[in-house]
Amino acid sequence: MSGNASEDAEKAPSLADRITRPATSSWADEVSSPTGATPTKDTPSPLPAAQVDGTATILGGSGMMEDDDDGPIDLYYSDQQKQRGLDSQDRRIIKTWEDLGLNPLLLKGLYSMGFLRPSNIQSQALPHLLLENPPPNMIGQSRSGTGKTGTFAITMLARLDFSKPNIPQAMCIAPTRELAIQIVGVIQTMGQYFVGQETLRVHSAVSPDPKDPNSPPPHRGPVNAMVVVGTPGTIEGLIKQRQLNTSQLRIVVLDEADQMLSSQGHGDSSLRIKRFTPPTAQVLLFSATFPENVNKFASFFCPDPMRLELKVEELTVKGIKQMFVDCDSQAGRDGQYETLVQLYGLTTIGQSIIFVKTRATADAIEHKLSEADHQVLKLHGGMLGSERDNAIQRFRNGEFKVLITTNVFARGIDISAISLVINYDVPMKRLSPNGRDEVPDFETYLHRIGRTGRFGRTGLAISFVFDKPSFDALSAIGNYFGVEMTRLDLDDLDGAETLVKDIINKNQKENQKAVSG
Amino acid sequence: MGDSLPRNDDPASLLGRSFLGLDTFEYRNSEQVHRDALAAAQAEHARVREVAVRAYELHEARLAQVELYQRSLQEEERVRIETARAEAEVRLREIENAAKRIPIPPPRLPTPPPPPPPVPRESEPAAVVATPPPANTSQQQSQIEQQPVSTTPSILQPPTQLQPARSPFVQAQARTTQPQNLFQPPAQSKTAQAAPPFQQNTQSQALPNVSQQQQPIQKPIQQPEALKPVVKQSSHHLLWTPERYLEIFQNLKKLRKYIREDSASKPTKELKNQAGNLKRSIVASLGKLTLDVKLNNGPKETIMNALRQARDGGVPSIQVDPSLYMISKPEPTEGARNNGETMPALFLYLLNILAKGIVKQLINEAGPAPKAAEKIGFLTVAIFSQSEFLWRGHTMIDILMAKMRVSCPVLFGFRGLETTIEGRAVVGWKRDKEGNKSFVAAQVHSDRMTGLGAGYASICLRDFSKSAVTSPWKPWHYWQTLATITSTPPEEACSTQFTVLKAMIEFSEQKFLKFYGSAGVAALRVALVDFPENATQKGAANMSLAVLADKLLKDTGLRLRQ
Repeated sequence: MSGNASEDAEKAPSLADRITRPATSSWADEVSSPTGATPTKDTPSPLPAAQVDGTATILGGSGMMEDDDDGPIDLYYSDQQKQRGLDSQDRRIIKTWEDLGLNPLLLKGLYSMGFLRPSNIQSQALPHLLLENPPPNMIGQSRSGTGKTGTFAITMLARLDFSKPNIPQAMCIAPTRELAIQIVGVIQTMGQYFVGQETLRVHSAVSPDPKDPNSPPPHRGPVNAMVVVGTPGTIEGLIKQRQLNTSQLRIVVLDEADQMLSSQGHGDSSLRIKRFTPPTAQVLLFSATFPENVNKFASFFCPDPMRLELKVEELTVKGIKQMFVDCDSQAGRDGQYETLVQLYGLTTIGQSIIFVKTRATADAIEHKLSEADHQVLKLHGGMLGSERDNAIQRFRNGEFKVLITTNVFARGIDISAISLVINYDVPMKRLSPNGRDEVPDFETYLHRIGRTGRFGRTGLAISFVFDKPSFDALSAIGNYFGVEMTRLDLDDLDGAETLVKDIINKNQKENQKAVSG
Repeated sequence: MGDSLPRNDDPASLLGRSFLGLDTFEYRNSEQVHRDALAAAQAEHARVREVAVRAYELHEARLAQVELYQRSLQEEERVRIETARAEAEVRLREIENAAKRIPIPPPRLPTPPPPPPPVPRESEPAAVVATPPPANTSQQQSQIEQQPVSTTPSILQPPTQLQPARSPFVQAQARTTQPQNLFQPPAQSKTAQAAPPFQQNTQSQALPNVSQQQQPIQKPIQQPEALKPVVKQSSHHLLWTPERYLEIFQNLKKLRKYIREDSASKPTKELKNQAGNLKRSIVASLGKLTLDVKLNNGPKETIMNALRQARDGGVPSIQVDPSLYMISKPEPTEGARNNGETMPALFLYLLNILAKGIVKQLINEAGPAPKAAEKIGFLTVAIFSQSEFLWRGHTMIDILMAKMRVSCPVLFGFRGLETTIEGRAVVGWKRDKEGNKSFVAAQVHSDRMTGLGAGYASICLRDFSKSAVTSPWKPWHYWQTLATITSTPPEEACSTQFTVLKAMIEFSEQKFLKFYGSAGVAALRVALVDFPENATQKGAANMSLAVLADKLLKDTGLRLRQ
């Protein structure tokens, strides 16, 4: 029945030639000939109320079933903006991409990436970033997986002047090569429909690994792409060698800004780069966390900024269910391995990441999980650059389901199918570089679990504790973020299964508040 | 006509020619000369005449042509007028037809509550019980039946539908003699399905279109008797027997409840624990699938082993009639394995767990990353096509399809207005908690639909040409779903349909074209260009579907836009 419809549509052109022939079959069958390939076009609409306004009916958009929630983001205006009389009453919030007046080619890229509508942070930040003149600087803090990368990538692409295709106009600095490569990927995908005259070139400025025979040779000659993304050291090098023309930069972005500015080397590099950029360039700083000390430094780097902020308690993503397992301390490490294998039957798991402290643990776990038929991949700082790139690419492609890694992977990496994060060791940091005393590392914990629950999806984070120190550390983390960690008892697997299921189902909507705009 | 004589040939020159031929004047009166002159005059006359005749003919032809031309003009004018008239007539018919089509008559009205199916089932079940404690099982049985009815009226089914479920655990061996009866629950729903198209014209003009189209198709489950007719009104665009899938779904729920709860209290607690373990091994295996097909053999074996264990009675469970979980009941097939009347309950339970796991895995993994659907579909089809897991040579994939029908009704032709609660219920927009009023967020819904759409495509579009077994869910299902979605009237097309359609096509277009060739290209054009363009409801999902056409052009060179 319905098959006919599409076949009719297909025949339509040839039928048009036959118009003077007397109808041999029912006229109803040939209906499509005079009216073209859309038989139903002229049918009177049975739905007079059919929507003509796209905004009202985007998937789950407004209309009767609107999820109306502005989210818990605080927006503070810069002094300059205040002078112009802006205050919180003037907050601009957009609901659809069309409201931003973006280039249609960029719009195509967004839809093609499945970005159906702006996330919360995007709907609040982009109107200011794109529509105001002069463009304001901004320090943006938002939960992991809420669309920070998208925000600055759109801003960068929207600011480009395509009449100068060889001059760098937008720059993004990221702390690790993995993150930089990921951002290059996002920008390229977003700009994939810029073709012909407007072809978008993105230069990826990451350092070649001198030990790595497979790494591509370092870049020679001037950078002639409109967008440059890289790590601080490499970008600084390019500028010093006079290969990177910074005079026409319109926008500079620091991703994971707190990590960049707090680490000695990266921070200095970034500041030196900043000196080379025109004072008129828009500066954006983004991260999920901004510790107090970094904050001061940040305003120096990014003068008179607008601020988007979250309270500490709001920081952990609600959609990530945080649990812990008390491993058999008698069995020691072996207890942890067993626990790990058991976990995988409890719920449906897309991909998962296991964070460990040492490479030795990583090796041991890999062995254990491989025995249980899991496809496991390791990633740590000891690997060569190209090996790391390769590993991430294969994990991203879904060739492997489990990634065992150290903290190198904690930040920024966005793989949407990750539905489970396991803290095999509770993250700790040393108080002083040479000291032995360790305290729980709140930021790292947050960034780690932020690898799951991307863009409003549900994720599960399970931490292992096996003795008093690890238990205390995890409790401290729970207190800091104001979350209650649920204990998972693996002796009763059926019970554990129900518990996990309940927790995942429990008010799934909460986490949506952060992302739905 | 005389006027048209050639002017070049004046008389002097005519005569001169004969004179020029003579060398001397003296023979000027000779006979010869006169003859020559006569002959020349004759020839000249003939020539002139010929010219004149040709001119006449030409003139004649010209006149004829002018006349013909004028006549053709007249004819054309006539044809044009007639065509216009015909078009007007066509349009009129079309409008009439549309008017007829819109209000769809209550399909089941003509064949009111059909009691035939239950009768045989109820009369016979007492016959023989193949399982250990017969009395117990039938008691359990009645418990199972009653609880859902009393506690959750929402899953109530009309009595006629309930009957088939009543016999699940009861074994009627005598049935082989008259297998016809067993066909009835499925067969009946089929006839009901087929009936409406022919009845449409008789009734219905009076019914308001708008409300019909938006009628929640799932309502019948909640208030079966009252709303049935309304539901069926719009069923002409639905595929096969979605109603039957709902019954299967309910039957499966009862089966799960039996395995999990009712068996826990009995001395058969062993069954529950074993079922739990096997279940976890299946769920965990689904999570281990990777893109590399070879590496998926481990998980696949684990799942098949679990199923084998259950089938062979390694873990004993009662026997159940598998046709409760199928669209129609197959006859015993020569040479097929599992040819009996029943299969172990645990086996069917595990198939159900597998189906649920597949759906969940699709949602969780393929939702965010649609490429992951491929391997899940591969495994699904591999298991449901295994001859050792067929019943009487027929696949049990209806168990999965029942679950798909509930999770993603759009695949089966349902549509609804997402701005209304009823519309959301129809398109399978999940509530954020069972029984809750609020729905999951748009992004979550979109993810779910993406995963299921991509998974469905992956299940349908499998090439079995080189395989010894047959496909459990053939590619034409894909075409049918494509067709049923794209033939939605433009003003009814909804976001969920766009999302599902996009997921079904993206990354699957190569396989689709392999099966359907240029017809497939035309279908893709309808799906990616015409359908989103004509829809009155634009918006992000629509844009996203339309952009896929550009993406295919850019990535594969497939030009769909003219």
